Amino acid sequence: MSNPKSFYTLAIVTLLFILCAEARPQVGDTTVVRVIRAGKPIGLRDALTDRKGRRVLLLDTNEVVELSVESGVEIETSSDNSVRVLDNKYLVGLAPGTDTIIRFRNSSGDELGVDGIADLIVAVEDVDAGRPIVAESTFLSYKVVKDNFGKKFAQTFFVVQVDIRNEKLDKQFIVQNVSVIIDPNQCIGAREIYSNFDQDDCLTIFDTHFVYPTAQFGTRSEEVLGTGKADLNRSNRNVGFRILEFSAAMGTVLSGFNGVLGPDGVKGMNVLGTTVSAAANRLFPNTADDKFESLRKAQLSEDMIIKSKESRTINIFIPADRIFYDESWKMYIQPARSAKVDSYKFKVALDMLLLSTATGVLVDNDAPKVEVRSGDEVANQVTKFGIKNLLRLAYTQSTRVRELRRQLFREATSADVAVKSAAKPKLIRALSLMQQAAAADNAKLELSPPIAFVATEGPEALARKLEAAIRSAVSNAESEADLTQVTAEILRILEEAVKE
Amino acid sequence: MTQFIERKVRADLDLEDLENFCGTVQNMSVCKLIRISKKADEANGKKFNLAIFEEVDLMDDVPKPGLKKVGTGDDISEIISKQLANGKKFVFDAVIFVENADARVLGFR
Repeated sequence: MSNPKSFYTLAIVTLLFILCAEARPQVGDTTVVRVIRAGKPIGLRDALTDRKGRRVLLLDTNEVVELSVESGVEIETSSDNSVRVLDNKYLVGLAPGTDTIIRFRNSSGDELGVDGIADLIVAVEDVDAGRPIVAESTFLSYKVVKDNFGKKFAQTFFVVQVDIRNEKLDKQFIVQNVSVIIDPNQCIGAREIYSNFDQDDCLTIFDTHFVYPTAQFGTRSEEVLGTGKADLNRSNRNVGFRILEFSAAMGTVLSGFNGVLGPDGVKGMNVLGTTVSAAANRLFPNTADDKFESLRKAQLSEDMIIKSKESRTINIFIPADRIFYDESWKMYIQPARSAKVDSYKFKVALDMLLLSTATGVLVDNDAPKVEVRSGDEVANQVTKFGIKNLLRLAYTQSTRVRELRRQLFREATSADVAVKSAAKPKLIRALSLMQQAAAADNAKLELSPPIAFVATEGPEALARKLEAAIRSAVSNAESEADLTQVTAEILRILEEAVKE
Repeated sequence: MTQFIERKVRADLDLEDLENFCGTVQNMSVCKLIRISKKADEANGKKFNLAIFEEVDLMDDVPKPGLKKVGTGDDISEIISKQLANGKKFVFDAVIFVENADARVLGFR
């Protein structure tokens, strides 16, 4: 028979053990942690972001996030070099590109679960990601263009100067596409800056003088040079050198880009810096024709690279007849001394409504160039900059593309023999231009399978091949930026093809 | 046979961007938007929207998609009836990513 005293002693010891065990939190016990955002606490689960299949708390480098924990709970970091804990309250992101596990312990050192999350992973990101690429544009007055390039040139081209600033700390921006648009929405936006701004007056100026917010790209290099040449042939002044000097001093000449890519496939972003200018001096000191030939050659087919924390200025030459008509032209060329208030308002509105968009890719400063041109990884880094304007522009352009496709298809399938045969050369032109664009080194279009056609094919067959080619190019344009480029390129091709 | 086209769309776009993107796809691929749904890449967890289009005839007129976000307390039937009164056709009702966050969106054409 057992001793009752021993029995009670054992029972009491067991009971005390159970009570102590319950009072002491175990691994698997939970606590409540909140993240303070904008002064308000939010649940930890809600503060996490999906990243590579994991839910993590994102921190920029040097970003401080405040946590609210229950009394007696200690915050612990697995790597002090990556994320530091200050005052048992703040998390500070230190090393970009690193992940750290944050654990919570009670006063006895036992690990606590948080809101069903076993380990809180904090990912520190590059603060650079938030630094923008900025594009600002202004137009050059008629007088400035005339003084620099001559009267003929100034009467032919409207020059927009786009300043692109790369504020990122360790990434270079490779410009692939620059366009400008005269955007009436700026009239509406201006109200937010200046409450007395006369929005209706602004919109009336737009409606009267610009009519549609059509995006403009720079003109083809051949045309810019052609105009310069025509002027040179009539004048003793060397326009070619003035272009070079002007470009070296004020920025670069942008021409023949994207929507206006030349049939030779030469990318029209020209880098005419001081080196090129000096080289050009040695290259062509004598005849005008040679100068222009050299100037053409000097227009490098490289992408423009803007290093981190640097800016570049690009001059875009837009044919004046795509912007102005007689009334607006008069206002544009009016010098300040004789300008009436209407002319002044017109110029102010033009400057305000002129928006520029630059798109390209961001790559690390030390990335080899070959990597820039190849992998999808880089393509995936297409900057968000300007995507809104790009997509707006792409939609407008795609509407025009669809009209032109319908027009060609209608003509190709017309019962009227004359209309049908007139469609054939247009379709052949369009298909040839598509082939050239796909074959160019810097191809904007990817066609799979490639287009194959013979001139003896009927208009209907050619129209169907053109449709198939366009759809192929579009389906191969995976990203939003690619789609906008393909849209602009197809628009250029179709407009060129239907030109009489 | 009806052909469908799927396009991945970035999750960070706002509604206007989405409308412009889908409108561009409609015009360029000759199709009409029938649905958008939110997805996450299985490999890397990256979120995106998947827009599904149905091919149409080149001569068909397909209006630009109109997307309306449903806010808390919004009366959905009122939004729909307003759009229908404007001659729009109701296309879908889905929760998708708008500027990286979940949003209930009604699609019209």
